[in-house]
Amino acid sequence: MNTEDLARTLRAAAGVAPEPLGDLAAAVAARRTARTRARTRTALAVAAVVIVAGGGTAAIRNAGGNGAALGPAAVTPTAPLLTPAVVAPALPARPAKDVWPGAVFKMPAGAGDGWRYRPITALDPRHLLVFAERSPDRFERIEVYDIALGTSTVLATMPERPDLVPYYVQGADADAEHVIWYAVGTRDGERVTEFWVVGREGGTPRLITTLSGEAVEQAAVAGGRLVWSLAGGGVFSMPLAGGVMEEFTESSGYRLLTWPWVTQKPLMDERGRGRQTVLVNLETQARKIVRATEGLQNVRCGPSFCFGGTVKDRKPTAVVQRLDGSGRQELPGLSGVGIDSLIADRFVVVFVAGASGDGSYRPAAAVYDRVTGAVGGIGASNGNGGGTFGQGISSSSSLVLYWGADASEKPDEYWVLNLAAVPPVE
Amino acid sequence: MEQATDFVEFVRSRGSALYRYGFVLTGNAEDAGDLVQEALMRLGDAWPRVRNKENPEGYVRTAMARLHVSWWRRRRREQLMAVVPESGYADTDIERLGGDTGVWTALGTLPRRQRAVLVLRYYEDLTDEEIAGVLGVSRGTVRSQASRALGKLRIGYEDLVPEGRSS
Repeated sequence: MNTEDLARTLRAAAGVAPEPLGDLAAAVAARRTARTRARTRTALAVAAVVIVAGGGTAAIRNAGGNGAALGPAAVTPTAPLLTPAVVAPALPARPAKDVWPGAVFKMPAGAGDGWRYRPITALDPRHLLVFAERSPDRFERIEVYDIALGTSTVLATMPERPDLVPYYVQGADADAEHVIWYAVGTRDGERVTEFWVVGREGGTPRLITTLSGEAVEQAAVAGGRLVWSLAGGGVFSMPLAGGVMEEFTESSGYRLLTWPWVTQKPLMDERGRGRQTVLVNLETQARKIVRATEGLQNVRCGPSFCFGGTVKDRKPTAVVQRLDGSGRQELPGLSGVGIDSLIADRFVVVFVAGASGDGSYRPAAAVYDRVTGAVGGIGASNGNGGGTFGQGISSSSSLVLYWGADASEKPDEYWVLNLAAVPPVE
Repeated sequence: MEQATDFVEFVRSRGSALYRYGFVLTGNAEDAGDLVQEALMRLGDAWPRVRNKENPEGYVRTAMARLHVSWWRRRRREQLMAVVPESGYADTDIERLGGDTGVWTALGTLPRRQRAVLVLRYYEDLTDEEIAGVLGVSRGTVRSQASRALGKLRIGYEDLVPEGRSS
């Protein structure tokens, strides 16, 4: 390859860019209106699914949590870009609280001092890890919410970093003994990333290390070590006590999926075709080869299964199969479109596109349990084929899905589906 | 706030070209749409000043490059899931237009700043001096980022064959 090939490829890509539909000027105006509104009140800290009625274009965004430089974005739909080509079939789902009654509960959306909660993930069936935020850009505390008692305890307070402004706390992760998180800041015009740790019993956070250069994309804690991968690929680790940073051999181009598994990045190409061909277990060096995902779109694979979508009889049909392509099952009524990350090697979240024409139950999204085959609806539906829900912001795909208990943009309570509380199969 | 008529006209006449630029910068339709809208919204806010004293197209292209480079930070929080529709733009074909899909795919593995430097150099045909101005970095940084990106593209391209990694 030479730079002329590169220039030609860039021009060709510009030539095949799908033309946006709709009135761009109107979309810009709508965005500004939403932005202005968001500045005057705290945005709902629940993701919003914007679904083109009857179609496959969907975007989920967490409404409140963007960086300061870009300003808060409330539910700001990107103008639909492509013409939907499929019709929404009936959905074989009941509300999640009927499907998993022990895993759905209500919790307050904020702490007693008025700071709002932003769920991170579940520690176990009874405890959630949450950030308490002063604003969507400023996470001030990590707390543990006890579902049974309905109370929370402060695990740690975020350290002040006046020399790193602007400073944003980013993803967090937990294992049985530690909670880690990372934060990005700017020092002398250069971006730095800090990793912090605190014990599960709480206390004063300790800085593990500070990196400069490429952005961190995923981080995990396991067995006394911090593990992370970079946005540009590459997987690294370091003892929680600090010390020597190690790069996993030949990990360039790989990303952390869920510890100890890594895979290629990006997970799929720009057309949604799967790019994962192998998953590697960094603890055992076991390798799993992905096969037979041709013809599927929005393909993503975890250690045990792949999930994707196809169109059958003009209807979106989700497909689940083992990594080697065996055990293939079609799930009519569910599209393959949803959150990219599979959760806990067991659950998939798919958007439910399109309004219900017949008044039947239609949530914003559905959770599919590949072990039992159960499908539970989640999220607050707006009745027009759109709706909102959020996923916890842990670095590994969060076990917590939540949505407002009322239709306001700033609900007092959340409904929470804690996937850690879905019973294992005997 | 009302939008100025000439701003609307600018969006209508230049939207498509800006969108294509966004697609080359981000690599996908969803992010391109988001980026164009965000940059145009900012241009709209600055319109009276930009229209009279600056070049609106230059302003919005610079805003897009800078937003794209900084966007990773926002994305982590927003968890925006770019979703490819069931019937994508399958008919379109980079190869047909003389491009190399392998190179295009490999571009997707670059960090945002490196990708932006390559797009500004080889798509926008800017000099390193101009790129430094657009991204707000030194010319040395532009050179080193470009050099690293070009190096990675070659390596990254070969890396796309996973069997080659296992040995």
